[in-house]
Amino acid sequence: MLDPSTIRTIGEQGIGNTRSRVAHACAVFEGRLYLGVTHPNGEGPEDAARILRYDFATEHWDVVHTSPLRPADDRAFAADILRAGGGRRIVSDQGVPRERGFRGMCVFQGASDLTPVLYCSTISNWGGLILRSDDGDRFEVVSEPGLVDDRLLSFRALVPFKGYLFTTPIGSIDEGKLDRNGTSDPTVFVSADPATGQWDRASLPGFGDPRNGVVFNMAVLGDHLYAGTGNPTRGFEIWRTAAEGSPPFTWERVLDRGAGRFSLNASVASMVAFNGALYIGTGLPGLGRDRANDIGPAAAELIRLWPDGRFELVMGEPRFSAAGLQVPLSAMLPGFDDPRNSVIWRQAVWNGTLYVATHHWGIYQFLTGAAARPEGGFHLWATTDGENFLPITTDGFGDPFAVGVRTLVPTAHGLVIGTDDHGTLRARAARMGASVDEAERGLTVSIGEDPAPFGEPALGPYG
Amino acid sequence: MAPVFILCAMRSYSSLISAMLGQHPDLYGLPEINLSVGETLGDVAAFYQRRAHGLHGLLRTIAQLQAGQQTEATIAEAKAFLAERHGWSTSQMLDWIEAAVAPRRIVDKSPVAVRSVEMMQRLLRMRPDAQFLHITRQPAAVCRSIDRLHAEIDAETGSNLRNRVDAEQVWLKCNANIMAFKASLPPGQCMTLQGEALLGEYDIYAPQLCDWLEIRRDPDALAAMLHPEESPFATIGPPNAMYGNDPNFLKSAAFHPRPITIEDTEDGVDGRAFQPATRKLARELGYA
Repeated sequence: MLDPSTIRTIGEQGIGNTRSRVAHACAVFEGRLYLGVTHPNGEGPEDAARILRYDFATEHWDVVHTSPLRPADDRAFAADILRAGGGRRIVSDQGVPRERGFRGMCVFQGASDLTPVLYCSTISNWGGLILRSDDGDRFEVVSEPGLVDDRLLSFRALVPFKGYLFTTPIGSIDEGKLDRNGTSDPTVFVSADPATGQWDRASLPGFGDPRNGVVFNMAVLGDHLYAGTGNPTRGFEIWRTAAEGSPPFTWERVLDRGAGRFSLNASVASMVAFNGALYIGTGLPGLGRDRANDIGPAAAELIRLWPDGRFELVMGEPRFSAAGLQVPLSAMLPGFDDPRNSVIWRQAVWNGTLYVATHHWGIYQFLTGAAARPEGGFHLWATTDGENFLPITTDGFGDPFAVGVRTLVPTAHGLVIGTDDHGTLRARAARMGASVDEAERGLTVSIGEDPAPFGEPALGPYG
Repeated sequence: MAPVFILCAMRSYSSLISAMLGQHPDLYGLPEINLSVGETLGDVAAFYQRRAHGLHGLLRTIAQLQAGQQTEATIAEAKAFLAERHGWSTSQMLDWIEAAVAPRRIVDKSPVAVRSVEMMQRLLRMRPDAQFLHITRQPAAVCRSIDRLHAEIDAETGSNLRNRVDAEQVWLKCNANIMAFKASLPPGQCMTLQGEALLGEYDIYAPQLCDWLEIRRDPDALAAMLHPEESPFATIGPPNAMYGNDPNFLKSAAFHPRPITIEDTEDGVDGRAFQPATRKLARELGYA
């Protein structure tokens, strides 16, 4: 298991740009770490998203891709529906970045790829793109904006399965409004050869139910690809396919109604296969309250689903269910006993241990006057049996502004942990009397080691 | 022995479910004894001074446990019993009932308790180790049932309940009160269960209920719970204490297992949309 004393920072202060706040998409390609960083605002040239590369041997980062700029047309000004007031954004007249972030990244070999190559998805107001690189130095656009519809903001999970690359849209931009978490097309897309830009629909929109408003995440367990939805009315659903025949594939629903917690488990935020079961992390946006859909407040749960369809509550709220009386196997309540852990944002399996990382909104309690001092920071927990958890950190490694983990990547050199940093709040906290450094910091990337001998790292899906 | 308190809005299967649980060999089901309304039996009597039927359940309980039967004479004795003990705390009354049914644990389902969080807190103060079962029912079904009941009462009494009581508000307020109370308890002390699930999928949910209550779940125990009509309180009582439960239940207490189709709360009730707060809570309780 990861030894907290070995954890060291390998990238900080946004790695060259303190406005780089989110270590959003990450993969290991040809022995080096690639990290796509996101600028939530994308207001001007200073917010051009980058892909960074880390060399474990030299311990050096370099920039391998920077978003081009484009004129600030109407789409640049689209109002984020999650922003207070919902007002239109202020953007630079020097141009705005085509992509202000990256959502998914993976290594995949399509039909026309001579070798495994790196694919990543962008976040773009003009339609998310798929980028491809066969050498890690040059990134080419290999998709139409939004794949099939330029109103699709980005693509979350990029998951290889049975010779295909699967992805799902996340975010929409339409009629001057930008929705980061919803989508106008909740469909699973598939490509056997993403280099050609040819994508097909692998599922019906929402798997045939309009209440499934988004397909949030995907993961592989055994002979099936599993997809988890966001369903604010009834609670998340899990669907799976063996991906046989030609797309669209046949899918079957294996879990619904938020595993018996209904709308309080509206969304599947993360999934990973571990010891023969699928571990499903749930979540609500914002401060654990989905204002757009009037859900919550509620903290996140962790559920495990077996291939035969049985589910068990690992961490969460005791309840009766169609699958039997559910008492959390970890003996921990929602949010790992902390109601401010509102999302299980990332999970990864490394060296036979499952790591589970959260989004924690505790810092906002200070900013709203509900707490006397700044406190919070993400949680990172570890388990070798899926039931007994040990904390790696419960305070964002001492940084209350590090609200979440957006990157959790097993590598041969250690477990890489990348943050979502809300350092823009530092100045506000200082004005409120907190003893904090006011300077914006940007994301941090750390790596930790396991004293036990390395096994083969198991890569989870990222998006 | 920790009591089991059933919490729910009116017309949410509580009479049936309470009587079913009460037939379990380890439990004893009571009619509505309404001890949550005051600190003493004097308080309870005063609360029901103008609504005498509110004491019927307690009187029938005392008569049954004191005399082994419910007749006009034993009910009269129960009234005297109560009158002599106005100074008793409601907790003392509960002590007396529990001693009489021991070693079985009591099951109480007084719907009045959910009118306020304070009343439920009083139950908790009376028995800090009590287990609370929150039974829910789909709001449109509850609204229709309440309206139907009030129309019947209006026809009999000339009152105007049908128009005066907003059934949706009853569902929303009672369930919101219960959820607020539940949030104040340690995990697992109060559990929520859809009434439709228990009654429609008995074989799945009844064993879970037994596990949670830490009582037997063998076939004999599960079979006993299928016969609520065998409760001594499952019929109309003597003329001086006829009720103590939902009159419709008292006329026909048998349980007929059947799948129950749950309506989608998003569809509203009879063409009328529910208010946002109702829809939100209904979604959280699984009624969408």
